[in-house]
Amino acid sequence: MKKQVKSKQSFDGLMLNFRNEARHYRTVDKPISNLMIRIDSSNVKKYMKELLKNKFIADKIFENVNMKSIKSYNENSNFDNFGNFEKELIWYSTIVSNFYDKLNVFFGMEQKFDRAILLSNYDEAHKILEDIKNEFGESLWYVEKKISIYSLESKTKEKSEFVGTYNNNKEMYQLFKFLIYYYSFKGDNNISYSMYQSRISSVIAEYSGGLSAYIRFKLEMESDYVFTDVDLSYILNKEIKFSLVDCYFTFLRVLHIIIQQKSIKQIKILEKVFENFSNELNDNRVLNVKRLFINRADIFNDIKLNLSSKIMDMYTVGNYSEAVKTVEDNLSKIINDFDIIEVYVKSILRLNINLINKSCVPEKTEIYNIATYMMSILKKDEYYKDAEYKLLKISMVNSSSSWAIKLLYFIKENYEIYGQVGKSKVFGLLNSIEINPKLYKVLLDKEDSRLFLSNLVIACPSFITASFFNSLFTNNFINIFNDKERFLRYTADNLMNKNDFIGAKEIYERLLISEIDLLTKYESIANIIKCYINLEEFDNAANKIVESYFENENLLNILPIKEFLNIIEIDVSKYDALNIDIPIIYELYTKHIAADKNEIKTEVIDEFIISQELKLPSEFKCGMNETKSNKLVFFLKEVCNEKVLEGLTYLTGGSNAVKTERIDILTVLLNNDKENEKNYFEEIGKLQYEIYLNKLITKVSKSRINIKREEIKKLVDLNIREKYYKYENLVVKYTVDRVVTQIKEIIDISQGVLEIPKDYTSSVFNDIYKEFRHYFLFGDNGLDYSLSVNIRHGSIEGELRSVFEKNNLISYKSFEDSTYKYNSKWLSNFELKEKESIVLKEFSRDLDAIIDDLKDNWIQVEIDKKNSTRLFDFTSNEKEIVRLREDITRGFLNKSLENVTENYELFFDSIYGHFIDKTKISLAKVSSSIKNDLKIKILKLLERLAIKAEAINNEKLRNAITQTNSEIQWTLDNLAEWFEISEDNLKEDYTLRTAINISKITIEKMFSSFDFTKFSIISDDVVKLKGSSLPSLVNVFNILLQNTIKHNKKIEGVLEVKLDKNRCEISINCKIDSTVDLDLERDKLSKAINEMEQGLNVRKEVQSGFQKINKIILYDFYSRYSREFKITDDYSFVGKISFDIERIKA
Amino acid sequence: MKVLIIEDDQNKLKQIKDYLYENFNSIDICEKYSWKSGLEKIMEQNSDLVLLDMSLPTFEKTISEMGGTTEAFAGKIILSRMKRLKITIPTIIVTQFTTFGDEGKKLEMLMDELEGLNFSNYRGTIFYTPKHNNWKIELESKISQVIGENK
Repeated sequence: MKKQVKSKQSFDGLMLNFRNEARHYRTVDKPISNLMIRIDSSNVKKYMKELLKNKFIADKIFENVNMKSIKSYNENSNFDNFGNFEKELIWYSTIVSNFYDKLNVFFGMEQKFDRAILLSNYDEAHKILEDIKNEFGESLWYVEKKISIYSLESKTKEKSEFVGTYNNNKEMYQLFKFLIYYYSFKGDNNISYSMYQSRISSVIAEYSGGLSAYIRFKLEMESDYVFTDVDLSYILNKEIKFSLVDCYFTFLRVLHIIIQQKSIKQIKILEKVFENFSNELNDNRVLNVKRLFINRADIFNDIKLNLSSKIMDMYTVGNYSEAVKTVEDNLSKIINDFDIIEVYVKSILRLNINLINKSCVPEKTEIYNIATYMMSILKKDEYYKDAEYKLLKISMVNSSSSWAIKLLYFIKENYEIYGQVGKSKVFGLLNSIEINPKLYKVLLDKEDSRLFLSNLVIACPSFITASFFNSLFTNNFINIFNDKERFLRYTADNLMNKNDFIGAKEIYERLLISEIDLLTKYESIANIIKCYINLEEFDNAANKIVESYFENENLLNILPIKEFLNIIEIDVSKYDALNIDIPIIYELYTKHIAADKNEIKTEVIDEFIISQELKLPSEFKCGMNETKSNKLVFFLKEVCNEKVLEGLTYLTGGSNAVKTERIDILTVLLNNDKENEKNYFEEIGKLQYEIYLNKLITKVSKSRINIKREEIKKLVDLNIREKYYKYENLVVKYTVDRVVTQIKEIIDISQGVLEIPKDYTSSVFNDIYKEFRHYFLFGDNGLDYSLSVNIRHGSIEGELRSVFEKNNLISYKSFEDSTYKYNSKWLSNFELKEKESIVLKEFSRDLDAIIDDLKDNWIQVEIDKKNSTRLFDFTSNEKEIVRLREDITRGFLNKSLENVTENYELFFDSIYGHFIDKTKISLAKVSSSIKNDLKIKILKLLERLAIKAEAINNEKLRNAITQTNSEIQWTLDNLAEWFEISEDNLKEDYTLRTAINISKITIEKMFSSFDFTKFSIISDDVVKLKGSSLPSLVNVFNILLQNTIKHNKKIEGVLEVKLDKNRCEISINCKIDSTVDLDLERDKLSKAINEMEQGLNVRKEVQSGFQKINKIILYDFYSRYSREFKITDDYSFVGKISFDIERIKA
Repeated sequence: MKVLIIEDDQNKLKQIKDYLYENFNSIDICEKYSWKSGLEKIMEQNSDLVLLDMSLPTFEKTISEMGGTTEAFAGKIILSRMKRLKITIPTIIVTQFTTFGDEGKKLEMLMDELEGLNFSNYRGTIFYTPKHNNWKIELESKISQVIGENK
């Protein structure tokens, strides 16, 4: 089958084999229980140690242990095919276990680094960081810490320079740059944590699948996110290619996530993983994680959750001694749970118990230490400064490092403010209610205080909250919680924070049926939905969201729509694809909240329709119960819009099929939602009109080569008929034999040589032929008129330029000095400065030269010169003329000589047919030249531009060129189809509005960068005009609009078209650039009008369109037109054209 | 082997076709120029391999059809639909862009994303450039892999 198979025992292949070998130990696609039996981790270690002895392999696999430069990341692609999660965990722990010695060195250095940071010795911290880098190579850990120190030092410039060295490295792997950029964003002191969260959330939303989870993980946005096994597997697989330092931290955090997510199925595999961890590692973090895991029975049984809510309840109702007792009894289950410790300490304070004097057993030491630190902070005793540092350090293990850094910064700042003036309340502004009038005011307001407290609980670490509540008590603010409803809300909020969603939901539901204010009601609804989400009752959550929205649209901003969608996107199996609520929620999100889920929305809708065993939404049958019917109506009416329909799997018929399907949907709605009948009729009408316009546009495009036989015949009848009779008589004077002999002689003589026959009859016929040709080509309605007005003037140029214009590759030539202008899109789209823009200015010039060549040579008629570049070849070919004359002569000699009229008609048909054949040959030649020669020319031009873009290393420009490259080829193929003789397919009458709308669509396509919103078009829609005149009228509008745009920097004005009896009046009032010289502009205008009046430049496509409009009105509408053009003192161009429509009225 | 190429750039399409005809025997190529027509063909399930462009118009462009929206991530859409419709024809993305969409997503990031989406039939992404032949080597390697799988 394959012709060439290269030997590929390359390094990559070798590595792949190695990985596959290792997989043997990781088993494939077996249940965990099976895996447990088969895996022998000691064997894996042994095997790896063997492999590591081979330096060639070891360097490639573990080069990242000491990664010399970040760009080397991803060079080794052998780990790309990641396995399942269990296998990855075993694999990871095996690798890490090979590097305990190295890691222990790192931990020692890291401790020194931490100490330096806590003592604000930043110079020392920098130095240690550099030592770590020298010893362990580049790592994201290093970059993140470096940015953090610069942030703590407020050294913005140094930080930018540091980040810049990574960002400017063109060879560096994108993912690294991406993460470093956001680390720098996170470390920006001017950016609040909530701003960071919101920004990162929107960034994450741009990605999907494992990469999205990975970014979330690396940017520490995992708090409310449930990682799937696939996510975690992806994260581990990505990180294994990073430095050892990064690998280690990632591994630790992944283990922590698994334990916290309480997935019971992971217990066995974690046991296996922890088997690999020996006590040789000198890191408290791993010990903490391990200890958390050892207590897994409690953790996995959710005892802690119940415990937490129980203790919180006791504290809330003032039963402090019971709260203390419960905590004391369960100390081993609440390791590092700051919330519980907070309540515990506060209860102790209420009871005046001295915690420090408590005797402790060793395993309880840690929790007592935390509690003691927290108490010191709350009491502001002499140890509180030290306690803060210690507590902070502990929090670093369990909180994200971004929080720790933020917190550190916060404390440091406040020490400076309050410490220096000797204030005792150093723990932030939160504690200093009496000196913070703003906060004081907030707390006195019923609603503000509630919001503030809710946000505080969510936003701040527990011990800050603890301290703050203590302040509330000591400052007698506790009466805030006095009324029952407030108490209920506070209790429910607390239950939510303690993850007791069943309890919280019940209280919120109780609140909903009591007499509460609107805001509380709305928030309760939102919180009930959040409870459903956390309880994984997704169908209930979806139903509640939709019904709440239907009940009150204003609720939209408060409903947790984004949270809901983010959760269900993690695992699509969690919700029912048949549920109509899901597509509705996506619609609400994309329409009212953000557009980042449009792609997923279409997928969800498509899946929903297919799951109903339907192909298209119009196949839905309404008539279910009222609620479901309401949802279906909403689904059909709002969700199934044209953009969505375009993306449906089974809608394949093109843009008009999309509109037709929408009409079918509206027809279903007409029968099921009578209330909105009028709107549906209106939309149907609008869509039908758009389909009609699209069809007309195609017909107009195919009506460009329009030769009016009857008009040519009139001219021939008038000028040639008599000459023909004369010719016929001359011929008849000779005998038939003579004529035939003569013709034969001519043919014999002229083999290969085209000579004009000398005899008189031939000469007369030749004259007739040439005159006929003139009328056919250059008569008022001849071929050249079609080419000139319908193709050469603007149309072909616009069609070709539109592709380049859309992709912002070109600009326009200045009328003042013929140089190419700077296009502002070059800066905004390609960051191309004025100096570099020469590349695109030259390109614009070269493209225009090609288009000019096309217009001035290829699409021109040639009658004299042989081998001309003009492709409409109508030069005299004597052989053809003789043959034509022979046919005509034989024709009338064979018939009755008395029937001269009939003979004349035959004569006309023969010569007309001859020219039509020649036209067809020329058209085919043009069509082929456009598809081939022109395509090659333009693609070469683009290729040259691409080389220049490469030279200036402009990726965006390069992509725009690639896009243009694809599009222009189709445009040229479609353009080639213009060159066919029009079949008279425009028989349907139309209105002025239709002609203007077609023109507007055409012009908008040609000038995609112009903003047409400030240009109004007013037109009459009553009088109907003959279908055959449509292309000409569209041309008049096209020329007017094109000239308006070309001559003005901005398009702002009014085009008004009205009918008065039998006259059509077109007026245009358009603002022109206020910097132009008015006198100069008026001169130019007057020159153009003069040229038109004198009939100059008839065959050349001049810049002014006046002449073309004149010709169209004269030849196509058979009317003289009156006109008035002027440039006013207030920088407006005012034009008025009026003409008779008698001949084109339907 | 029946190969379906979904590609709207005529030049690139020709290059790929020429390469396939030159290097593989009994190759039967079907070409589509939009993601919708491509998906329709995929659903017929009579292709052995799909070579897919990443950015494509929705409909095939003709004198009467503008092509609808140009989807920057059409390749990803097709892979998602194939996954949902349980179509497992091996699919290789061949793109000549280095960034995608309004937000300018980098090719490397997109490749990472596709890898993380776990499409069982996805066989990787190849960067095509008419200037170099690297894409041919990569394409050969990936097609050989697919042939190997089918044996």
